[in-house]
Amino acid sequence: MELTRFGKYLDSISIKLSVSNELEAVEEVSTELVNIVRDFEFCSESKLLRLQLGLIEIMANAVEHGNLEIGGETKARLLEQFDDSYSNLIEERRNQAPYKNRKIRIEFSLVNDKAIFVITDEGPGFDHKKYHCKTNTSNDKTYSGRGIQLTSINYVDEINYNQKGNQVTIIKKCEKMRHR
Amino acid sequence: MEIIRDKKNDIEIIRLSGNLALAGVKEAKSNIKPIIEDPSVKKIIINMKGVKLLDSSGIGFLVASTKAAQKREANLALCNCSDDIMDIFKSTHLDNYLNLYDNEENAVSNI
Repeated sequence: MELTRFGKYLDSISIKLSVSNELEAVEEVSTELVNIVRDFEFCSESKLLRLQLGLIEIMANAVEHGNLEIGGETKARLLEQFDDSYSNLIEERRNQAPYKNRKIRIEFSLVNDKAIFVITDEGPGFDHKKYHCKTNTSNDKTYSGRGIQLTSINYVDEINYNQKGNQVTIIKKCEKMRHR
Repeated sequence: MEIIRDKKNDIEIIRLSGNLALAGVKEAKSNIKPIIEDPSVKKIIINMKGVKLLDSSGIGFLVASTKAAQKREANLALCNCSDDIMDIFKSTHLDNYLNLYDNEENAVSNI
C-alpha cells in the first residue's frame, strides 16, 4: 500500500484485511501497515520499530497458537530440539483440516494520533493470561513465550484480549509530529 | 537476511544484516546451526550490527544457539547490538545470560 503521496493530508484511515495463515505473511503485512502509520508522520522511527515488533508478535501468535492451535509447551519442547521439528509441525498443520482454511483478520484504524489494530484468528482461543503474568527472571532461558509480555510492556501502549482469547486489540499512541 | 562468515585465528565470526524475525530466523538457523554444532569450532561471535528487528523467535534462536554452544563447551558471543535490541535483552533479563560485547574487537579479544 502506497500512501506516501497523500498520507500527510489525511486525518484518519480505516482498513480491513483478511490475511492467509502464513508466518511469511506476518512480516510483509506488518511492514506495510507500519509504512502507512509512517506516512501519517505521527510517530518517531523508534516507536514505529516497536509497533512493528508488537504486530509481528501478535500476528505470529494468531497464526501459530490461534489458527494452528499449537500450544506453548509443544512449541517450547520442539524448539528445544534445535532442529526443524517446529517448522515441520507448522507446515503439517497448515495442510490439515480444520486449520488449513483459517484466516487472520486485521482491522486497522488510525485516528486522533492513535494506531489501533484489532487482530482476530479463527481458532478456539487460548489462555493469554498466563503469558501476561509470566515474570521473566534471570533464570528464564526458555526458547519461546516472551512475545505477549514484550508486546504489552515494551512495544504498545494498550493490549486487550476478548474473553474467548482469539481477538487482540493493540493501541499505539503517537505524538503529533505535524500541524494539521 | 544477509549472513557473512569470516574467521579470525580460531574464532568464527558471523555478521548478520536484516531482520532476525520469522523467515530471517529460519535462514539464520540453517546457516549458523552447522557452525555451532561443528566440534572443531570453539569460539563463535555473532555480529548483530546490521540487525534492525529482533522478535521473540529471534530471541529464542539466540538463547538456543548459546545453549547448544555451552552444551559442547564452546563459547558464543554477540556484539554490536543496537540500543533497541539491548533494551529487549534487559527487559527479558537475558543481558545477564547472553555473552554480550559492545563491538567485534572487544568480542575477539575477550571471548
